[in-house]
Amino acid sequence: MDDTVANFTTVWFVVFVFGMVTFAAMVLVCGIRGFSDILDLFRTLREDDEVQADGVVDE
Amino acid sequence: MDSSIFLTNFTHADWAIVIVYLGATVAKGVWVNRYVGDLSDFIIAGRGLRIYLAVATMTGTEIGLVTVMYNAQEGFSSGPSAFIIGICWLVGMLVVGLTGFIIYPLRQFAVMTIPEYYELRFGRRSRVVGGAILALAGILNMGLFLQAGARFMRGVLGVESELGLKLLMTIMLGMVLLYTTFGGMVSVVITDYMQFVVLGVAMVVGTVWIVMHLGWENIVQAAVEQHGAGAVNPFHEGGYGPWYIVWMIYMGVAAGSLWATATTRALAAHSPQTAQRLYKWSSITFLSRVIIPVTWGAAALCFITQTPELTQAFLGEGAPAEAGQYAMPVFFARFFPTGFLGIIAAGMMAGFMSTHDSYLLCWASVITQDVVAPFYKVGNRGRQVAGIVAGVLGGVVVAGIVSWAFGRLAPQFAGLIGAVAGVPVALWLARRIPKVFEGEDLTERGRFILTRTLICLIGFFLLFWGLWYEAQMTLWTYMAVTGTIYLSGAFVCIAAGLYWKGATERGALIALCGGLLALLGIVPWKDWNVTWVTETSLERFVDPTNLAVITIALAAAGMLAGSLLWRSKPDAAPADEEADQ
Repeated sequence: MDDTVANFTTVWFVVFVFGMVTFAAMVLVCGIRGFSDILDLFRTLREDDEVQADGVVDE
Repeated sequence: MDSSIFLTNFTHADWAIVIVYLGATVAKGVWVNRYVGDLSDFIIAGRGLRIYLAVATMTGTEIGLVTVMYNAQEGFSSGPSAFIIGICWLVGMLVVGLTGFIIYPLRQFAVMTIPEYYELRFGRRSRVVGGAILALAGILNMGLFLQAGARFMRGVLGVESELGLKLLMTIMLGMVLLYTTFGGMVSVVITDYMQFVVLGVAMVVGTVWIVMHLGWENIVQAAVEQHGAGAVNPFHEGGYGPWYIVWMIYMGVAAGSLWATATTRALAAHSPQTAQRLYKWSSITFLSRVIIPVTWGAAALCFITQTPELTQAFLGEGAPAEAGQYAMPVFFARFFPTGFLGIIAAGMMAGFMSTHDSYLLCWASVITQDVVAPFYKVGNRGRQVAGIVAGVLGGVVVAGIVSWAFGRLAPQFAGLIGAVAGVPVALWLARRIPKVFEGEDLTERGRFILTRTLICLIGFFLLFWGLWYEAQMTLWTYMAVTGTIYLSGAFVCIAAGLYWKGATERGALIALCGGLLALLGIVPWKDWNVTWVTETSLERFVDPTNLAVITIALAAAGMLAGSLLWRSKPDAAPADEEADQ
């Protein structure tokens, strides 16, 4: 391997590790917190339906 | 591909994992239909997305089976230097996320689709033309999704026959259509979330497994031996080259902010601030969605060079053009053990479905909301134009289908028979369509029905396009070219519309139509033996990279020239801004 190839090999490895670690962290955080967001979304949509069924018009 | 390469560790246990996982996904998609109250719930989930769910669902859509396939192909054919595409995405998304460029003011307008903004800022003609170009580019862009997805499943499942590939495409399409037509955006969000978690974990575990087993140095070394220094240095001769990287940086910013399936998440976000944060955080996953599959593709190359029968099939002289697409799935089928292979296959299939449902819903909604519905508000002349356009398009489609059907029976008369069938259809549509638009407005029920019908029609188009069309470039370049058809015009229209008071509708229309020039980039000139292009200097003009850069420059020049030559009405105020006051 010449120097340029060796340098790029190291650079891409750093980029690879950065991408993997941050992605794993995102999956963990958004996986856990996203679940409660889903419950919120269902609650919001259900409340909207109930309001519309009661004849109250959204502004 | 030679059928002997399709050996696999996929067993009945893996089938059980796939069936249970996909069954649960489809059932859940249909079940959440109960939460869809109106069209806003169907298209943008009632604007109820909060940040973590928004990031998960955006990533779920953007890390699908197709994303993995095209990035793995880049890794196989260009080595780790393809990471540069991920870095361009990271930079583009960060620029949008940190500055709120385009996304923040666009969310303030409280529009449901991007072309809706064209109407607010420029006028109805821009909305219809912009919507039609967006839908055309978007549908062409996903034209090879089904083909790529079926090739992955064929490689992993070890299906040897070509007929099996076609059956796989049909079955996968059927599953996608079933639950997209039922649940709309709410089911899309839930499916995307599940897929994000399952596929996210599987991707991390699988990648660590691969790199530890093959070794990073060996993966890079194999790429360098096969492709030279361009495999690690994107600027080196034989690598991507500077103009390609300029194009990718533009794509990172333009597609990051305006690719409709991603922007829909921003428009569905709880607030403009949430939309901006969504982009900031998603920049990381947009890097990873390239890094991880590119590593898989490069690792597949390393594995193939260590396996003599695969080396001949994938790298020998007679290797077919699609070999790069089969490399990663064939590698997975032999590398991962039973059980994990099932989880990967189930996650990928769910990814395939989540990408398709988002895209199908997005393009069908754009046609309904932005192309068809506005014609209920135009005068006689507008309705007549709609009739003529529908007549020409309908006539051409019918003539094409009939010609194709008779092509094998009586090839010498196929064109004539096609014309005989197409002309009456064109005339009937030209007379009928203006009368359809004489009503008051397209009702909400009408919009639901039309959107769902369009989802099915687009699905059938994907089936035919995937069976017939073979790209003469990598999958990613095909997608970047088709994306440029829309983005070159839309980016300049929306950026100028939001930040330049002098932008006019004439400038917007010139910019939008200018993007159509990029269509030349996907024409199979060599397959059609068009020698006046392929054997002259025009060949350089239709090269995807050159054509994309020229199209982007022309669209920007068109907006500038059109706006300076024709003045227009004042700006519209953002809806949220008015409501806040």
